[in-house]
Amino acid sequence: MNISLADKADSFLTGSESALQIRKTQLVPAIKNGKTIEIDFSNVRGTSQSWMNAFIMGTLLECGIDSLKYLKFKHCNPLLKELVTFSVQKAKQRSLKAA
Amino acid sequence: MPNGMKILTSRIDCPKELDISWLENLSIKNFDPEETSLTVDMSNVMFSTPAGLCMLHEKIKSHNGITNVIPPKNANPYRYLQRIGFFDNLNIANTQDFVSHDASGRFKEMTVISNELLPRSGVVDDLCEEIASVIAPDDPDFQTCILFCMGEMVNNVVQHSHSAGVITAQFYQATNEVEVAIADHGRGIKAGLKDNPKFYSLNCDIEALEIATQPDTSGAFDSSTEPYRIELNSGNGLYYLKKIIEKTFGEFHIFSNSAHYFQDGSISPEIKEITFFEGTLIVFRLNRGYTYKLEEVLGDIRKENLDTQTIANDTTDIQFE
Repeated sequence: MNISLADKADSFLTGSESALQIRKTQLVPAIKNGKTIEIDFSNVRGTSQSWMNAFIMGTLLECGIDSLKYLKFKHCNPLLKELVTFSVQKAKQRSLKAA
Repeated sequence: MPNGMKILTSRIDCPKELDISWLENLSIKNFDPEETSLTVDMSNVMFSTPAGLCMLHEKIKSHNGITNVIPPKNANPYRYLQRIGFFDNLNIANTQDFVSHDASGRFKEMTVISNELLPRSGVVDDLCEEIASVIAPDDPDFQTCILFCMGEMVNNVVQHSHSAGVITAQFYQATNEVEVAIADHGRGIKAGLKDNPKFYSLNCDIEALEIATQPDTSGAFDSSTEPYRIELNSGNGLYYLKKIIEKTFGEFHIFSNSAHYFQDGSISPEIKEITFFEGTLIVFRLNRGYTYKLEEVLGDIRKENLDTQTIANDTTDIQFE
């Protein structure tokens, strides 16, 4: 399964509500069905950390850290890689604290 | 006038420079939003910044009675207020004609953020992109940094305030700086944090700003995850904004009800008590000369905050393609 995040070139994603919507309607249901998801960041120049956390960290907390194995991050520039890394590390930290 | 009715009047006398330093020292005596009449005397204003204008805009918006605004005497600041949309947004009639022209490279007109529009996908993104492209058209790295900071700022105000607000931005060529401000006259950051049971007993605005600027602090919950109450975000928005300002020698202010948080570059932040504002104003200033690649700044901040020697630090299982 492929989730494409932006149609418009050079998009910067900031509204956390939109991240939450994609997470709820596409990402979480696909993980629960055991599907591998390719998250396509083509056309995305960056996101706010709040956006990325609502999207990635929220998913990992909701579905469990092990669900990271279902996620593939495509076409990430250096900024997006940094934002994804932060989100994943935060989710891991929180899971460890909760355990 | 019926016998016994008392006409009460509040007055705001604006100084020459309507900026942060005015807000830091401002005391509007006897301001009461329920009073019948408010006079805002801008006749001496010669220079205004996004921070001063957003604050004044929300102060006037919060007043329920008649407002009388005396515009600047000088034509240049008067035209600037016209062009930036100060009078139009407040439905104050213009008394001088002017020709609107391209604001490219200088400022973004004051834009009211209605909370009905915000949950709609893309509205915040479009607004932030438009502002960044107007105030930093020729510098993609600087634009990205502005977008990141603005995204965190707008999200924070939206989630905490439960009220409409106003945003505006200006690039200052002489100092190579951008100032972006957003204000609302909503419930303030303390009330927003109290949505989280962890902060239910919070009763001081100063303490609320101390907490809001620390990592992992969120009052916003995803209601669909009840009863587990997973936070809607990680609660790092204002913390990241604060750290970026620290690393790029910028300036960062939060005014929320009776507290003012202030950070100037890497100098330790201060939080002071203030007495004049109901709502929230967030302002940042970034200097183009100190803004390098955002991913490097964010990487430094992330590494500073990692717990040492835990498996959470391992990122080899992230599949980038």
